Amino acid sequence: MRIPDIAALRRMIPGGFAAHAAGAVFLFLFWRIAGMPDPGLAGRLIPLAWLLAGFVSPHAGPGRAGAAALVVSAAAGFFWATSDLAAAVSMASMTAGLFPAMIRSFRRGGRHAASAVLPLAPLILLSVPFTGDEPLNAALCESIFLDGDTDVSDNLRQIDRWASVSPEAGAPVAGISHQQPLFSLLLVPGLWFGIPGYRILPLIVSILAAWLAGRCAGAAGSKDGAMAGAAALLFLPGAACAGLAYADWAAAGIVAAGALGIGGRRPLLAALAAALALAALKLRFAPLGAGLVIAALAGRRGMGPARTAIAVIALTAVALAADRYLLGGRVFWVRYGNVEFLSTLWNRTVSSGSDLLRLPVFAMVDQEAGLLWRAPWLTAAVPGTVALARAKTPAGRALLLSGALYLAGLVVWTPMEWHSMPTPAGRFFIALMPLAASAASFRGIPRPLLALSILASAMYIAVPGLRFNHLDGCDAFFDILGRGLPGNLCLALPSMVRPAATVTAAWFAFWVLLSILLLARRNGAALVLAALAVPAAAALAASTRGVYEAEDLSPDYRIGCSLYPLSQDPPERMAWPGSSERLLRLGEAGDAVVLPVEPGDGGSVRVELVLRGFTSGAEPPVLAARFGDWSRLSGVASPQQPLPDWIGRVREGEAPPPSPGNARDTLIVLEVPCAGAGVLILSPQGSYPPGEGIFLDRVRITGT
Amino acid sequence: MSRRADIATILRCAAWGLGAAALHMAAGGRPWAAASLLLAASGAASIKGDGIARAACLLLISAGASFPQAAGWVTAAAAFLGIACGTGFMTRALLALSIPPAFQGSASTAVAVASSAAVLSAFSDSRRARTLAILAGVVLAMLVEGPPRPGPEAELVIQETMNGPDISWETFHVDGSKPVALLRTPGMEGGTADLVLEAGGVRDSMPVGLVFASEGVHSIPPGRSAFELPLDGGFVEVRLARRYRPFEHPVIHVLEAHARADS
Repeated sequence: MRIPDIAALRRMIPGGFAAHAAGAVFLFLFWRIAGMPDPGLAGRLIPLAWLLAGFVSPHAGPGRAGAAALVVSAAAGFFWATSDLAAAVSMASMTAGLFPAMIRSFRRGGRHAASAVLPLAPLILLSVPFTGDEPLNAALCESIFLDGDTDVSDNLRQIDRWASVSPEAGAPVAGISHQQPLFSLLLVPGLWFGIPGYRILPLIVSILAAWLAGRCAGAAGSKDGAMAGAAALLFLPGAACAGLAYADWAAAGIVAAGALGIGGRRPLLAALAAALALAALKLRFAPLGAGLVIAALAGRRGMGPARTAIAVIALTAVALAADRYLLGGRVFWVRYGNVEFLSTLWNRTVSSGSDLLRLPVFAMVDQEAGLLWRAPWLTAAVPGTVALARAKTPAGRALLLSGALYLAGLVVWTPMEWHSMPTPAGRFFIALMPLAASAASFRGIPRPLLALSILASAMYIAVPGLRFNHLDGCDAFFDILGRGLPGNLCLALPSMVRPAATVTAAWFAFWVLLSILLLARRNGAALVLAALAVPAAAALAASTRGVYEAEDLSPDYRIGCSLYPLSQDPPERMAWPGSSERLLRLGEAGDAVVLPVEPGDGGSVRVELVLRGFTSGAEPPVLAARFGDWSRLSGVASPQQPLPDWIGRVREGEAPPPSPGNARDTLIVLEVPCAGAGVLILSPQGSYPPGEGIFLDRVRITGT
Repeated sequence: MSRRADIATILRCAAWGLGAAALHMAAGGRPWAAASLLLAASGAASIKGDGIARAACLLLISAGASFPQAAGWVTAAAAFLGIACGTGFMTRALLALSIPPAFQGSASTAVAVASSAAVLSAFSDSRRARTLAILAGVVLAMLVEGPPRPGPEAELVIQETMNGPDISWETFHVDGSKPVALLRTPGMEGGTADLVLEAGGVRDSMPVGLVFASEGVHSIPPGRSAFELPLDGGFVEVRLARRYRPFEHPVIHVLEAHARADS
C-alpha cells in the first residue's frame, strides 16, 4: 500500500483552506457532541460557511481572531442548555470567526470582492424569514412575469396555494401596487429557483452595490476604499438587509454608480440616468437622484447657484410632465399627486415637531432602532464627513448632496416611520451606505469599532430573528440578555415608544463619550467606560423591580389576557394620540394578571395601575384587585382623547370610531394591606365583547 | 520592562481585579465568585499585545461581575479566551487560577474536565497548542457528562389563549434547555386536550418524552403523533425524557394544542 506523501498533500491543499475546513469540522462535531439545537443553522449552515470561507481565503487561515472566536463559541456553547444567551453568543462567535476571511477577500477587489460574501450566502438565503414588503415585492415580480400585470391580489398562490396577498394600505388603486415595478423586475430571474431564488438576485445586487460603494469611496478620496465596501456590506445596517427583497441596496448601488459617473466624462447624463432609475425604484429615493443632479449641475462651468436652481426646477417639471402625459401618472401622480395626500403630508410634518426633534437622538440610541448599538463603525463617519467635504472631489460632493437631500426627504416624508420597523433596523439608511462608508473609511475605522461592529453583525446573522423589532419598547437581543435579571433590562435602555428622558440622556452621553474616546484612539479609557456601563445597566435594570410593563409580562405572570392590538405591526398603533405602547387586555372571564408582592415597611404596599377602560355600553368596565382576603373593585372610565389637530384638519372634522387606542390613560392607586409576601391578582369583573374591557399598560408596586 | 512599567501594570491589574470583585459583591454575588473575578480581571488586565482580546476579556468579566446568575460561565469564557490569547505566563496563571472558584458550589465532572484542560494549557507557550487544548477540553467535558443542565426554573409556562370554553396554545418546543412545558387550563373543570406533536433528534425508536394529563401518562415516540387526552382541570405537562447522549439532539415540537370543555 502506498503511503500518502504528507508534504505533497500540504502543497496541494492551501493552508487557509485547510484551517477553515478544520474549523468547519470542529464546529460541526462540537454541535453534534454538545447536542445543541438549531440543526439547520448551527449544525449545517455555519459549518458550511466556514468551509466556504476556506474557498474565499485559501491562502490565509482564520488567524488569531478566528481562533479566539472558536474558543469563545466552545466556552459559551458548553453552557447552551442553561441560558439562551449562551447559545446565542456561541453561534454569534462561530459566525464572527468568518469575518477576517471575508474582509480579506473584499480587500483583494475584483472577483474576490464579489465572492467575499459567499460564506454568508447560505445563511442569508435560507435562514432569514420573509417580512415587511418582501412578499409584496415577490408577488409583484411573479405578477409581472406570469400575468403580465402589476395586480398582486392573485399572486404567490401560483407558488404556494396557501399564500395570499392583501393589497397594501398604500396601494392607490387595484392593479397599481404601492411598490414600483423596477425592483421586482430585477428579481424575475430568481423565480426559477423558488422561494430562495427571490433572495439570490437581491444578494447579487447588494454585493455589486457594496463594490461600487468601495470604488466610490476611493474616488471620493478615501485611502481605504475596499474597506468601505466591506464595511457597508458586512456590517449592520447593511448586512441585515443584504440579500433581502428590499429595494434599498439597489438604491445604494445606483447612488454609488451615479457618484462615480459624475466624476467621469458625462456627469450630467450619468446623474440624470441615476435619478430616473432611483425614482423608478421607489419615490422615497427621488431626493437621492435630485442630489446627484444638483451635484452634476453645480460641477459644470458657469453654473452658479441661481442657474442650478432654475435647471433643477425645470428638470423636475419635465419629469412630472413626462410621468403625467407619457406614463399616465403611474410613477408619481396616481400615488401622491392629489390634494388629500399633499394635505396629509404637510399637516403631519409641520405638526410633528417633537418627533422631528427626537429623531436624531433615537436614530442613534433607541434600543430597537438605534444605529450605535448595532453599527458603532458609523461613528467614524462623523469626522469623516467633514474630511470628505473638505476633499472637494466630484464623487464626494455628489454623495454629500444626495445624502443630505435624502435625509431631509426622510424627515419630511416619514417623520414617524423612519425607523422602518418591523423590517430590520436602519433599512431606510442603507441608501446612505456609500456616503457613510466613504466617510468612515476616510481616515480609517478604529479597530475596537470594527470589532464591536463585527460582533453585532455576527449576532444578527447567526440569530436572524434578532433583526426584527416591532416598536414595542423591547429589543429582541436585549430581551434575551435581560432574562433572569431582577427587573426589566428593556426599561433601563432608551426607547422611543416608552421614553424616559434620564435614561435616554445617560445612554446618549455614554455613546458620545465612547465614540470620542475611540476616535481619539484612547482605547484604555474607552474600555474603562464600557466596562462601567455594564454594571450601570444592571443596576438600572435592578432599580425597575416592582415595575411591570403589562405587554412584557411573561406567561408566569398572566393567565389568559391577550395583547392589544393582536398584530405586532407598529402602523396599527402609530396614530394613537397618547402612548403607542401595546396594551394587555383583560376582557374574558378567567383573564388575570398575577404579580408577586413583598411586604412593605408600613404594613401595606402602594400599587399604581396605568390602564384604560373601554366598552360600547354605558357602564365603564370594572377591574377587580385581590390580595389575600383584601379586594377592591374599580370602575375604569377612560374618556376618548381629542385627536391631534392635524388629524382633525386632514379628516375635515370626521372623528374615527372610538377605540382603546384613542382612550386616555387612567391612573388607579391602591393601598394594599400587606403583612406578608403574597400575590396580587388583577382581573376583569365579568367578561366583555372582543375589543372591549380593561387595557393594562403598567403596574408599579412600591412598599410604603 | 522598566520598574515603573511593572508597577503600573500591577496597579492596573489590582484596580480591575478589586473593582470586579467589589462590583460583584455589591450586586449580591458570592464570595468565591468574587475571588474568581478578582483573579480573572487581574489576569485579563495584564494581557499585552492583543488589545481586542484584553478588551473582550475585561468586558466579559464586567458582565460576570454585574450579573451574578451568569458569573460562572461568563468568567470561565473570559478565562478560556485570555489563556488562549495571553502571552505572559503570569497572565495565564492568574486566569487559570480564576476558573476553579468560578464553579465553587456548582462544580460537575464536565466542568472539572474543561477547567483542567484550560489550566494545563496555560503552561504551554504555543498559542496554537493552548487553543487546541482548550477546545479539546470542552469537547472531552461534553463527552464525559454532557453540558450543564438547566435548573428547575427552566420550566416553561406556555401562554394560553382563552376563547369562551376553548383554550388554545401557541406552537412551542421542548429540548435540553427547556425540558418541561406546562399548559394551564384555567377555569376548566373537565374537558379534552388535543395535541399534535413531532419528536425527533434521536437515534433509536424509544420514547423521546412524556405527556402528563389528569392521572394519565403517555409516551411520545419519535415521529409525528397525536393525542386526545381527558382533562380534569389542572394542567398538561410535556416533558423531555431523554438524558444527554453525544450525537443526539432530542426535541419535541408541539405543533397544535387545544383544549375544549365538556359541554
